[in-house]
Amino acid sequence: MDSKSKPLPPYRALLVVDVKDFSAVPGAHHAELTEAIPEILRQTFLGCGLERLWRDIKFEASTGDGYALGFAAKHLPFLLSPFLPALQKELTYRATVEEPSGVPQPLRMRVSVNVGPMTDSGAKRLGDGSGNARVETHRLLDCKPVRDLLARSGPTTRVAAIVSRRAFEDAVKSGFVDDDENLYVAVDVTEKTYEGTAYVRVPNPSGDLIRNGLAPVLPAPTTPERPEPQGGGIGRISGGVGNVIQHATGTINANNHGNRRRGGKG
Amino acid sequence: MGVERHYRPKAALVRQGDPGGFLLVLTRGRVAVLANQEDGAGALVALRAAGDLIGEMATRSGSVRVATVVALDECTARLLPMATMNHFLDTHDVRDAMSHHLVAKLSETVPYQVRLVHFSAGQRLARLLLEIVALADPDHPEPLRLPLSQESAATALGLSRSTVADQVAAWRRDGTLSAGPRLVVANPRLLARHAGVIGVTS
Repeated sequence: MDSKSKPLPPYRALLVVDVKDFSAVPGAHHAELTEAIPEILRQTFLGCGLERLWRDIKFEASTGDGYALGFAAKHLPFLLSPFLPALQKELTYRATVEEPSGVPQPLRMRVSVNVGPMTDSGAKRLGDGSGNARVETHRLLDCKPVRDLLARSGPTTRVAAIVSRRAFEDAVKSGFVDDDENLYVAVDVTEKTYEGTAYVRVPNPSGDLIRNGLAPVLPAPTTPERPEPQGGGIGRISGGVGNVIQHATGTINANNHGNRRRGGKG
Repeated sequence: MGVERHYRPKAALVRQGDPGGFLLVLTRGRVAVLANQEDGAGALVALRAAGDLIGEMATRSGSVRVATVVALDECTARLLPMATMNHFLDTHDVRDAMSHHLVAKLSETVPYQVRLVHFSAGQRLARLLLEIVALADPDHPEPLRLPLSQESAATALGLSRSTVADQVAAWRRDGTLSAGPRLVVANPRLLARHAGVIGVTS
């Protein structure tokens, strides 16, 4: 019997980054910045102990104002932790030392992480990394919820990440990532042809992200007798930060962000 | 606002175990924040420069300082008792900003020797020196001079003194650092390259 089925390409974990406001950088620095991006990523991988991942890149491509990296699927958990916080720290360090060449260093990046079937010739060909999962990753990178994260935070928030549902479920929910799953907040994404749920993660939130959470839900219309907003995406800052101050090394994140699924501060 | 205090290099602005209840606003100079370890050596946890707050963690009276803060330069700081600070925060409606600031600083509790552990010895040292130079006051008379000894750098980074000495010697040969005995940067770009902050193409 003739079947027109084709074998699925291998699953790959994909990381794509995009520099915020790349076009705002003076044109004379564009080429320099484009070349600097993979170097920033390399230093980040190196600095958080993931040099072996960097040496095992399956495919990579510049996107002009960003960069895409493909890895074996098993490496997916590491792209979330320690990579995302490490990228935040690397960008913070670079902003502190502000390299003398003049390329503006207070960079802020959106990051998208996904996993799925992607072509991989094994020879790092131009066509590698193709497939719906790749397209999906770029759609997520460009969607409103993740752009909003950088818009609603201050310059010290240098990394805003969005993780596909599949990547979240495979790596975070299943316990392979060394992160509490509450650090990932569900958002609805509608970007061109892509519609679905994804998860945002911000290693170092600031500003309105702390005040109103990573995915604020506007209060539903209520009668005057019930002033509490419904759908508890809006956390109360005083309680949350009070908890943080009690602990010398506590993180801000546990239970302090609005979570659309949960309804109210956890 | 607050009483102005002056500190000579190596003076302690805050000592671990001291009672808290006040805040220092650094207005001039750089400081090193050290968290004491069991063997008595202080692990470098953070560097602070003019504009930063010191001692913000233990600002409720009755709390105790968790770190020792040592001046690297001639430093000036304004001392604010917590009552004054709270009044300021409330009347200027900046409590949220303060909370955000505190949260940002909390993330800097990992010692440098842990934070940089995956980098080579040379890259660790370059990153530390680059950061110290970058934090110098804009009007510092010798911004490229490093206000710390090779021994302090070694302790901060978890490296042996001989490793640091070897690296310093190599960088004196390649022009990154001036001839000794003091640690002075001669070529900041080269130091940035050693730190991995400038790529090989530029």
